[in-house]
This record gives sequence, structure tokens and C-alpha cells, in this order.
Amino acid sequence: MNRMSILSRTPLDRASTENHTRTAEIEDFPAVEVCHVHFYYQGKVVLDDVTIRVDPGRFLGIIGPNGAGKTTLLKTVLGILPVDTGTVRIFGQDPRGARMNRQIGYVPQRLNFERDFPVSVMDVVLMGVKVKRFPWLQGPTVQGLRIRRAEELIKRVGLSGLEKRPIASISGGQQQRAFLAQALCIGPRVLILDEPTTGLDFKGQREFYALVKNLQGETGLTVVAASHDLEALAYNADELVVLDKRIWLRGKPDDVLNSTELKRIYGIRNRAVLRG
Amino acid sequence: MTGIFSYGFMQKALVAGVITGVVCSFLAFFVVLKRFSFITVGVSHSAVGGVGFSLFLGVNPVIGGTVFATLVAWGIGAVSKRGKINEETAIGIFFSAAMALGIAFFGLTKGVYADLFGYFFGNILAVGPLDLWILGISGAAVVLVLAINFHSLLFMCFDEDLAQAHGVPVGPLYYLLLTCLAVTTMVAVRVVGLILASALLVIPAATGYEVFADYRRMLWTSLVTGVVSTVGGLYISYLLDLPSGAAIVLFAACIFFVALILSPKKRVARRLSRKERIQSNADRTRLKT
Repeated sequence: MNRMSILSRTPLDRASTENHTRTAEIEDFPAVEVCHVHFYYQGKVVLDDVTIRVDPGRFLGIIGPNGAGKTTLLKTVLGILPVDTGTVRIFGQDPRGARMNRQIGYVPQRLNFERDFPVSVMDVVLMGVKVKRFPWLQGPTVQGLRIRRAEELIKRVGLSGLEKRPIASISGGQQQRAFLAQALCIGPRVLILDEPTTGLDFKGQREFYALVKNLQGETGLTVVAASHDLEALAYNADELVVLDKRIWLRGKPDDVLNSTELKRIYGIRNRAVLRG
Repeated sequence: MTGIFSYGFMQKALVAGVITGVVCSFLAFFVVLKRFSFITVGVSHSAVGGVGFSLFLGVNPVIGGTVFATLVAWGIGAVSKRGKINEETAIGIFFSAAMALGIAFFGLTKGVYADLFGYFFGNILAVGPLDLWILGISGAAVVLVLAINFHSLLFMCFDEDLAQAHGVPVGPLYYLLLTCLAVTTMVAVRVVGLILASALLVIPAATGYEVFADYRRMLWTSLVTGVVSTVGGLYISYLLDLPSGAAIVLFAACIFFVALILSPKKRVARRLSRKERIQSNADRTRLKT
């Protein structure tokens, strides 16, 4: 099986995307560009002059203590939260447009969905691609392609045989892999991970990031991940930034982790964080 | 049973019952998945205000009630979405105030007391041709809107933030669902009445939810339960000379309790948990040895 084919956007997807810019043009822009962004909530500063640039195919890790603004930053990148000042661009596009054009995949923290919610793993993976109106009018060929792509992704994330299982009946780690497959099923160019391994055990965390890293290496996907798990991010990311309202540090993972600034922000020994 | 449906008024009642059953049970699917049961009770009760106001002004109470219930539903949505007042508190305030307003207008309008029982508890046998038209058009509109947005609504019910990140317009859909709720309440007013409308907007889907772990089967079960309840309840109402609304809701509740007792989903869950228990005991024994 050619793994590249799983994640690449099909011609059908491309045709259906109204504002789709040609790939050659898109590649001229940074994958994610956040310029001097300020965000305030109820008069308090959440993001203070944040600037980030991620080139296509790179893996950026965002670390920072609780309340540092990691989720807010990711939500501005997704176009869910409008910034007060500054700009956010995804491949040169407005993030809301990029989200609507399915250029951004998103894996959230573990969800607290209803225990008996009547959807299977396959239903969850297909949810993102079915939200277009009248999906049944797109014909059996498109539907068949999507189901095949979902099946391939389910296999790729290691959930084969669980397609028909209710989503709530599988473990937390398996659920997160199902959400990863869901995010990839729309054929995104940028993958946003918001503390996706929270609540998972050590093995589950490592397996999840290893899977993301493999998929990124195979497909050239751009990944932006926020996490408390410094070690997992340091091991997998090409670059780390330390966020606490503003960007305090950025650089190669080893340089960032050995910095004394990190110790100040977390208020503890860096290595203790890594081993904990 | 076919004999009673040879009467003209019963034929009209049957058509009204089937339309109401389909519309209510389709919307009930989302009401149950979104945990909107209390909002549904709030919106249906608040429609009393609209009916009272319409009767006072001398306009069609179904149309006036729909407009009023829609405004109340949007009000509940806006207040609770902004997070300034808890959703349940907002519902409690809005629906009691709207009901009180309706009752005040009933008091100010002479000669409406005879109709009140019909509005509150339904009078399916009094369905006229105009009622059927209103029912048919508004019911078809609700079904069409829900069908067009089916997968987006399902995603929103699953998780709002995740749906929004996938490009689902969660805000407008939330208000669309509230509007459908208000319109459907008024669709059901002739059949089960305002007070009991919320039952038809919950019980059919709750039955499907109890029985199946697959949303498609849950939806079909909801539709079948809705239609069977209205037709069966109508028959019982005629047979025992009971108010139609009460008979229909009691019939639906009976189906729900039977499903609750015989639920195959629970049996599977029990079997799975027994299997997991045995597996975990086996693992523990293996670890000890």
C-alpha cells in the first residue's frame, strides 16, 4: 500500500474546494505564520505579541505551564478565536478560510463525550468529511473513495478490527488515534494537536507521538503540537517554543530544554520535568 | 381498527398524528443526543405565552405561538451561550415568565377558556383542513432543514469544539436547532398539546438510544416509535374516550419502558463488562504467577 495516497488530497476534494489555491502557489508561503498576535480575555492578556513561523513539513512543539495560552494560540491558528491585533496565516490564507477549505486537521484533548453516544470508530473517522451538505448527492464513487481512505487510515493508526466498535468502548489511547485518523481523513496540510495525550499513560503518549512523527515523515505534513509532555515533544519536534503569554524561548529542542529560562518558567528543574 | 378510520375527522386526525410523529421523532433524535430535553420542556411551555398573546390579539394562535416560542428559544440560547446565566437557570426563568404572561393574556381575553384544554393537552379530533396545511408545510420544512444539516448537527451533538474545528458553523446550527424546536412544538400542539409536546420530542429517540449503539438504527427506532405512538395512542383515545395527547404520550412511555427492560445494548454492555472482568482477573492471576 502506498501510504502517501492515504493522506494526499484526492482530485475530488480539490475540485470541491471553492477557494483552493494551486499547490505551487501555496508552497511559496510558510505553512503557519503568526505575526505579533495579541489576544485579551475579559481585559486580561492571554497572548502578548506572539510571533511564530512554521515552514511546510516541519514539526513545531509548543510547551508552557497551565494557563500559558497554548490552547488559545492553537484556536487562533484554527481561526476559531479572532485575534485582537496581529495576523494569522495558513499557507498565506486566512485561517478561517483554510479551515473551511480543509487544510487544517485538529486533534483535541481527550473529549468528554456521552458514554453511550451511538457512533462507531468508522463513523467518527468519517464525521469530518461528511459535514458537507448532501453528502449522498456526491455519488457512490466519492463515497466509496472516502470510505476506503477511512479504512486505510484506521489501519494505519492501528485500529484495524475496531471499525464497528462504539467509540466510547475503546481505550483513551485508541480514541485519540481515532481522532487522529479523523483529522487526517479530510486531507489536511497542517495538523494541530492540542495536548492530545493528556490522560494517557506513558506508553500511550509515546506511541501517539511516534505515530504522528511517522505520518509526518511520510507525507510532509506540517505539525503544530502543544503539550505538557516535554520529553515526547522534544524527541519528535524539529523546533520548540516556550509560551507563557508570550514567547520566551525558541530553538532546537535540546537547546530549549537545557536553558535556564525554562527552569524559571516552570519553577522546577528541567530534568525533573523530563523524568516526571 | 380500520373501522374507526373510516370517519372523516379520524382520517384527518390520523394524517395529523403521522406527520407529528415523524417530525417530532426526527427532531427528538438531536434533542436526546444534544441533551436538550430540559430546553425542550422550556420552549414548549413558553409557547403558552405566544398562544395567549395571539388569542388576545385575535391572530392565529399556532403562528403567534411559533413566533413567540422561537424568540424565547433564541433568548434561552443567547443567555446561556454567553455564559452569564447557567442554561438551566435561564430556561427556568424564561419558561415560567412566558407561561405567566400567557395565562395573564388568557385572563384578559374573554371566552377562550373552552379552548384552553385543547391547547394545553391537545385535541386531535378537532384538526381542520387549515391545521393540516399548517402542520404539513411547517413539518416538511423542519424535516428538510434537519435532513440537509444532518451530519453537521450530528457532529455538533458529538462535540461542539471539534465540530467547529472541522468547519461546522456551530453557532448558527445551535440557533437553527432551537428554531426547529419552537416550530415543532407548535406542530405538535393540536395532537398532544403544549404541555405534553416535550414528551414526543424526547421519548421516541430516548427509546432508540436505549436500544441501539448505532445512530442510524437509533433514528429509525425513533421514527417508528413516534408514528406507532401517535397512531396507537389515537386509537386508544377513541376507544377509551381519553384526551388524545395523554393517550399518545402514555403509549410512547409504555414503548420506552419495554425497550428499557429488553434493551439489547445493555445486555451487550453487561456481556462486555463480564468479559473484561474475566480478562482482567486472568491478567492478575498471570502477573501473580
